[in-house]
Parts: sequence; structure tokens; C-alpha cells
Amino acid sequence: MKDEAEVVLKLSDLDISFRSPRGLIHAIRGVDITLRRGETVALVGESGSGKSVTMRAVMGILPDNAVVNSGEIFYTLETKDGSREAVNLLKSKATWREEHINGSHIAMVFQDPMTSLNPTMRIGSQLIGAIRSHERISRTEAYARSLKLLTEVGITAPEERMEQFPHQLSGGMRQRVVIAIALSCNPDILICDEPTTALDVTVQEKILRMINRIQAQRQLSVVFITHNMGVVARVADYVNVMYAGKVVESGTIVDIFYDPRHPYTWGLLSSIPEVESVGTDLYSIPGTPPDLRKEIRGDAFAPRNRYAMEIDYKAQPPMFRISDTHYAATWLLDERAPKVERPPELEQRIRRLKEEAKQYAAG
Amino acid sequence: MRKYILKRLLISAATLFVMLVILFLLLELMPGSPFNDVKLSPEQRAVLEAKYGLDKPVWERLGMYIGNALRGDFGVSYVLAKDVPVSSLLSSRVGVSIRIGLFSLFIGTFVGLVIGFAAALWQGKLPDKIGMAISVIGLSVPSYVFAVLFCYFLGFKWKWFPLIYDLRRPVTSAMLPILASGVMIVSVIARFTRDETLRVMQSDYVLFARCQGISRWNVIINYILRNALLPIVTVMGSLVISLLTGTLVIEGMFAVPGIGSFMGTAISGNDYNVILALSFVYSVIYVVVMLGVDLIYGILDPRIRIAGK
Amino acid sequence: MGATESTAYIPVEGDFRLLSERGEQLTDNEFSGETSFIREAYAKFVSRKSNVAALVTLLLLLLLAIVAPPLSGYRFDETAYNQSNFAPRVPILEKIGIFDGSQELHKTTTTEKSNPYLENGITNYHLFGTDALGRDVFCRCFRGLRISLFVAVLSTLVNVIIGVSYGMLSGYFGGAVDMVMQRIIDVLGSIPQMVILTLLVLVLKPGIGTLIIAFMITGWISMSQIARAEVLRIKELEYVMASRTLGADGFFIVFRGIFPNILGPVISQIMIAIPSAIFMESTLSLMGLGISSGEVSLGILIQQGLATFFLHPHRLVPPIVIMVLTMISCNRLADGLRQALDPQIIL
Repeated sequence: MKDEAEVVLKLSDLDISFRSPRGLIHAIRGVDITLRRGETVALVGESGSGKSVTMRAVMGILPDNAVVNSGEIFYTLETKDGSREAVNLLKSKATWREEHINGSHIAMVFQDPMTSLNPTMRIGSQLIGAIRSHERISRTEAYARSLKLLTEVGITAPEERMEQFPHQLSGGMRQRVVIAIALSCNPDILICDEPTTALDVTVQEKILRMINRIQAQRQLSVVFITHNMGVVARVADYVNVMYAGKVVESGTIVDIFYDPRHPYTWGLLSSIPEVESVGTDLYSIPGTPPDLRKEIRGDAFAPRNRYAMEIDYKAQPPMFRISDTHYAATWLLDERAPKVERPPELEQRIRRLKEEAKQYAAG
Repeated sequence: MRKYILKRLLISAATLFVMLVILFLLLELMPGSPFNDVKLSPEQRAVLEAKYGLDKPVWERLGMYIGNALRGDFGVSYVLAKDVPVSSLLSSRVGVSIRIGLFSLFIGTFVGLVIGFAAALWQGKLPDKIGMAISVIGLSVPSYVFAVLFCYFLGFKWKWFPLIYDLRRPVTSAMLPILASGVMIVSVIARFTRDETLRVMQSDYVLFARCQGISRWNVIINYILRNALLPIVTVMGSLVISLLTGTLVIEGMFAVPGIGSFMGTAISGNDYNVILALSFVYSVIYVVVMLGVDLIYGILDPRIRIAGK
Repeated sequence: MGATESTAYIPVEGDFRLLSERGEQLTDNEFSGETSFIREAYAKFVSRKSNVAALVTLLLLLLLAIVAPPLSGYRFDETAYNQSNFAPRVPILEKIGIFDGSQELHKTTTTEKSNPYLENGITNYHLFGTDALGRDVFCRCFRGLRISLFVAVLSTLVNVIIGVSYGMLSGYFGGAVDMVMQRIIDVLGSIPQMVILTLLVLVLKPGIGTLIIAFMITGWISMSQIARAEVLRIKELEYVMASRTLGADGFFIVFRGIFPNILGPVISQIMIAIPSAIFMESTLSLMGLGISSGEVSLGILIQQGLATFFLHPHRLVPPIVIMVLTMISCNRLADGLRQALDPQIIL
């Protein structure tokens, strides 16, 4: 772990609601996330757990009915003379943010490449427009940079692609273009919101590999939003498991996969499809996430938790510290709680994962 | 693209053909049509029958009818202007109607676009509320009601504009009919522009552009306007049809010598040849506009212009 | 292991007992998809006051269309030559000097104010005044609304049936059948509706039945497109299931699948089609092709009112106001229902 690495993005106590006809929807209920330089942090959880909303708050693209109740989003801005300054993005003006942060320092890639590109503009114009909105360079220079970017994301015959419209490209190709645009102004943080979910499995693999490669080459810090634990294992250094607008467990990839503590994380891990388990029923967590319109008392996960205790309906669990890197919010970690073993199927699965990792390391 | 154009052309041609068949059948079957007129003497009837080939089989007559119609020959008027060819009765009137129609279409579209964009950009605020109130009223209230209101206030009480259309003052005297049919166009365009703009503003590609920090004006012009304006072309077809329907009543109220008022006159005079010819003219206008709209859309939208994979 | 933060509630020993040991079932009653959709739709609908106002207005108009004619004390075709062209006279309001039955008559040189009720010793009240034949405009207006609504609603319902069946068949069979059926729609949709209506009414002779038939022939196209689009979507979704089960079952599955989904769009389409039919009826009336003179409709009343508008505005204003109110509330409802029933729109 790169513990000493400098923090580039720090979200603390972020709390967001949405106005709706039936009252406020409390979508984000106090989220803390830290991203260090060169690291990949994964945000995992079911849809509606608030992963995307959290990151949209970072980009400043929340819908009009969103209300930020509290919280801070600090970005470490490196000025030209090399000095560093933490800026609270929630306190800065939208126009300043769009001009000085979005694209040039933090960029975001969306889930669906089919809808992320302007359908009536050529790929080339979109790329060149993105570059020239932050850097005063000539059209020819921007064109040359665009060709380089397209090659970098693995697109062949870039000159030809520049002249094409989005609908002429396949899904995987479009996502490559989207990533090329996102990288066009050399951001240091790349937020990927389920970038492979809408793609075919084979294409997914290629895109993930490409993102890993580019991250290493460019020393990017990446936030990876996904609901897929398999993808997390492939990309992340550090994992935040989110449930009903809160981070319920956070830790390094090793902590989360080999020593998960929160029953929700157990459920997520048990639901990864495995080659060995083909034919057997895939585990899924019973029930559905809670209705965030209602005030949640206690632990939001309690109604779906096989190991729920009375306390779970009375008080919200704090973040218990397990190690310097590993935290989880479940009353099961309280010293007064009964000792609960992880389900045996999950233990088996963790053992298999460890063996696989060993074999992988051995070559 | 070529396939797209070909398809549109074929549909247009088929529509006109179907329309002509319907008109022919009506002419054949309509009670009181000139051929069934009881007042005709046998000799007159024989002359007519020979002239229009009524003794020939039905297919041949249909062919003749279509051939004549395509050449603009719809026979002669029987009631309104005895034995004057319908085509010459229509020729001057079509121009008047189209001129007034285009005027209200252009003015209405422009005003509607401005209101629609303002409403979308200030969503939920005052401009939105005012704009949408205008459009709800304009969409629900028939244009002849506006004609009555404008007639009473602008023409009768305040005397801003002449009440009756006057060929010697083609601009000022056309103002009331233009305004009356323009309200509907403003409403439709404003409503559509607003919804379309809001849809585009929430689309992933606009959010992505904002994430990239692309400048506000660039986003508005190249991302929002470009994509929101495109579908507006498609409502032009239905707008023209509403406009045509409106003129049927409005032209009569302001005594505009156009095809709308003429239709009313022909109906009250039971002049079938004129009615059928007018029906055909209306269909041709609509079909041409629809074809134009489809072709313009095809040219503007790269997704149709350049076939994807 | 220690807590990094403390909470307000201080747990007691008994709190740390697994509920499953007490044999409690793991149930999830916080969330139930089906009722939630209806409640959601309701909440979305009432969250806009204009939706509620439109609904109330429409129900009120509907009620008046049913009860006003018999309760008015007049028959819609009852003539009274001693009471022709009376201005409105309303009880109570007449005491404060408005709607007391007096009217201004514009003569060539002077304007005379007179009250025909008092002059002729008539004690009746005509809420909306009377027409040239002394018929009560109030009674006639709501009778007219009743007929207009009847024509519009009946023809719209028939259109729903024709349109939905056509669209479903077209979408379900797909391929060449769909191609042919869609080209037929392309052609039919390219003929101006007003032209078809005019020609049909001309051939069939004006009347209520004719109007209904005429609207039926032209109004179903948009309904069929809603149904077809939904069938195509469902076919995509349930492709495997539909192919496993055979033929007729497949159709049934598709039908069952699309029904709840097209309900929203179809209902709002109905609410659009009704005012449009009322409008078409009035336009036809103004062209002299309305229902035959014995009966009244809003269109007929407007046509008659227009003829004497400058002299007796009280004969034109009520039917126009009633029609405009009906159309605005229908359109507003169509919009509100579309938004409320669309699961995609989260407000």
C-alpha cells in the first residue's frame, strides 16, 4: 500500500438529498472517501446505493433538485509554480470549476458509451473542442494531439475515425473515444462510472486492461464505480463498499476480499459468479435496498441482514476500526456482540481466491 | 441516404394515388354529383358522358381522372362559377393562402423557439411559467377563438388592423389572420423546444461535455441547440396540417380570398368538383411539406445521412 | 477493537442478541414494488396543483353536462318567441347590478340600455340568456357539451380498440406483415385528417353517427403506434420465453406483457384525442358540416353565436368558454397522467 502517497481527493461527511413530490430522498448520508495519487479506489454497491451521485457531486453535475446538506470535497490543486493547495470544490463557483477543474484536473467517463458522445458532431470535432476549451493551442496542434490520444486508447486508423460520427462506431470503440476525450487535457483524476457495464464481456476485458495500462503510464488516480466485485478485483487498490448512501466497509483490496467484516460485503462476495460454481444457483442478497424517503433508524442494512441484532434497529453503527486501512460499520464488530462466523461457503470461496492469487503470483 | 429518399418519394406518390382514387370514387358515388343531376336533360347528359367518358369501363375512367388531375384539370365548376375550369378558380387563391400560412409559420416558429429556450434555460422559474401558460392556452384553444378575440379587440374596438382582408393592403389586412393562426404555432414550437432542450440538457453527452469543462456557450450551441433543434423540424409537418385546418375557418372569418374560405363556399354551394379539387390541393400541400421535412431532417441528421454499421 | 466515533444511543447488553436466534423471519416490508408504483404515480400527479385543478374542472363539466339540462327548467329546443335574444339574468347577482338581464342595443346613432325581462314582465331566469328563438342558452350549452363529449369519447374509445389491435398485430407478426401494415399507416397518415372528415361527412350526410364514423376512420393511427412500439420492446425482452412456448401462447404472453405498459401512454393519448375530436367537430360545424340542425353540439352553438357575435356576445361566449375549459383540462390531464404514469420520470 502507498500509505504515504499524497491525498489528491478527499470527501468528508458528504450528505445529499433530492427533492421529490413525496418529500426529500436522503440519497447520500455522510460519505467519507479518500483518494491518493496513483491509486485506484473502487466504489461498490447495488444500484441506488449512491455511488454515482457521490461522484457527480465531485464533478458538479448534480441535477437541479439535489440539495447538498453538508460535507466537503477537497481537491489538491497543483499550481504552475509547484505549490499545492486544497480547494473545497463544494464551495467554489460552478463556472470556475468548469473552467479550471473539470476536464483539466478531474475527468469522468460514463456508463453508456452509446449516449456519452454528441450524436451530431464528428469524433474529431468533439476531441479538438475538448482540448481547445482548456488549452490555447492551434487547431492543427489539437488535431495532432487527438490522433495521439486515439492511438493511446487503442484505436486503429485514427485519421478515419476523426471524420466519423459516433453512430458509425461500435460500443467498445465509442467507450475508447470517450476515454480519449476524458484524457485529452491530462487530468490527474479519472472517475469511471461503470465504464464497462454496457459492453460485451470480451470488450469489457479489453477496456479494463486499457484503463489499467493508461493509469500506469500516466500516473493517474482513478475512482472506479461498479457493482461488480469481479471488476473490483481486477482494478482496485482500495475499496469502499456503499449501501443506502453510506460507506459500510472500506479497506484495501486484500482486506475486503480476504477478510470482509460487514455482512453486506459477505453478500456481495458470495454473489460473484465463479467458473467452478456454474450450474449451481448464484447467491443473491435477499430483499431490496430501503426506501430513502423514510428516515432510517439504526442500520439501514438490518432488514436484509441474516445476523441482525436488536441494536441494529436502535442505533446506527459507527465505523469500527479493524486495522489502519480497514474499517467497517456493523455492530457485529462491537465487543459485546456475539461472535459470528462468516458463512462456510464464503470461507471456501475466500480460500479459493487466495490459492488463485498464489498461483497467479507464481506465474 | 438514397434508400431513405426513395422510400419517402414512394410513400408520397402512393399517398397521392390513394387520394385520387378516393376522390374518383366519391365523384362516382356522390349523390348529387354533376353526373347524377336530375335537372340535366338527356342530351346534356349524353354530352357530359361522352366528354368525361362515362360510357367507358371504370378502370379507364379512373386512369383518365388521375391523368387529368395530375395535369391540374379538375373539370369545371358547376355552381360557384358556371363552366369556369376549377384550376383557374384555384390558381389565385392558393398563393394567398400559402403566403399567409408561411408568414405565420415563420413568425410563430421564431417566437416559439425563443420562448421555448428561455423556458428550458430558466426551468421552473418565471420565464418557464409564463411560457408554458402561453403554450397550454395556445395548444388548447382553437385558432378561430383567437380569431374572434383579435377581431373584436384589435379590429373592432381598438381598430389597430383592418377587419377584412384587402388585396390592396396585403400586409396590414393579413395581420389578424396571421396572428390568429400564429398563436397555435408559437405554442406548439415553444412546448416542443422546451421539452426537447430539457431532454438534451440532461443527456449523458451534455453532462460529459460539462465534465470536460467545455465552455458554457460551446455546450449551449454545439451540444444543446444542435441536438434540440433537430427534432423540431419533425413537428413542422403536423404544424402545417393544423395550420391548414385552421385556415378553413379563419379565412372565412376575415374574408381572405384563399383556399380555406373557398372550401367553405364550395361546401355551402354543393360544388363537388371544387370540393374534390380543393381536397386534392390540400393533400398535395401536406404531402409536399412532409416530404420536405423528411428530406431536410435526413440531410441535417448525420445518423440518417451517413448510414451506420 | 474500538469505535472511532460514538453515537447518541448507548447500547445495553440485551441489544446484542441475534434476532434470528429468536426465530424472527427475515422479511422486507419496507418496500413493495407494485403498490409503490401506484402510490408513486398518485404522488406525482397530485404534486402539481394544475393537474388536480384540471381533474376537478373536468369532473364538474361532466357533472353539469349530465345534470344541467334537466335541472335548468328548460328544454334545449324549447322556443319562446317573446323571450328572444335575452341577455343573461342570474339570481342573486342581479341584486348587485350585474347579470340582471339588461343589455345595450347599438342603434345607428345611439346606444340604448334596456331590460327585456322587466319590460315584458318575464320572471324567468336565463342564466346564459337566450338565442334568437328564445331558447335557453344555459340548457343548450350543456346539452351541446354532452353531445360533443359523447361523440368524442365514443369515437376515441373505438379508436383505442382499432389502434391497439392494429399496432399489436403489426408488431407481433413483424416482417412482411408489419412492413405492409406500416406502409398503409404511412399513406393514411399523409392524408390530412380534415380533408377525409370533410369528404366523409359530405358523403354520409351530417349527423352524430356520421361524425363518430368519420373520427373512427382517421383517429387510430397514433394509438397503433404506441401499441406497436411496446410490442416490439416486449418481444425483444421476452424473446426466449415467447419462442419456447408455441404460437398462440406467445401472442398471449406478448399481450399480457404489453397491457400494463401501454396503459399510461394510451390513457394520455385518449385525453389528447378527446379535445381534438371536440375541436374537429366544432370546425366541421363552422364549415357548415356539423350535426343536423335538430340537435346541438358545442360546434353548432359556436357557429350560431358567431353569426350574431357583435350584437349578442352572450350567445358566443358561454359555448366557447365551456369548450376551452374542457380542452385545457383534458390536455393538462393528458400531460399530468403521462408524467405520473411514466416510471422513467422521477420528480
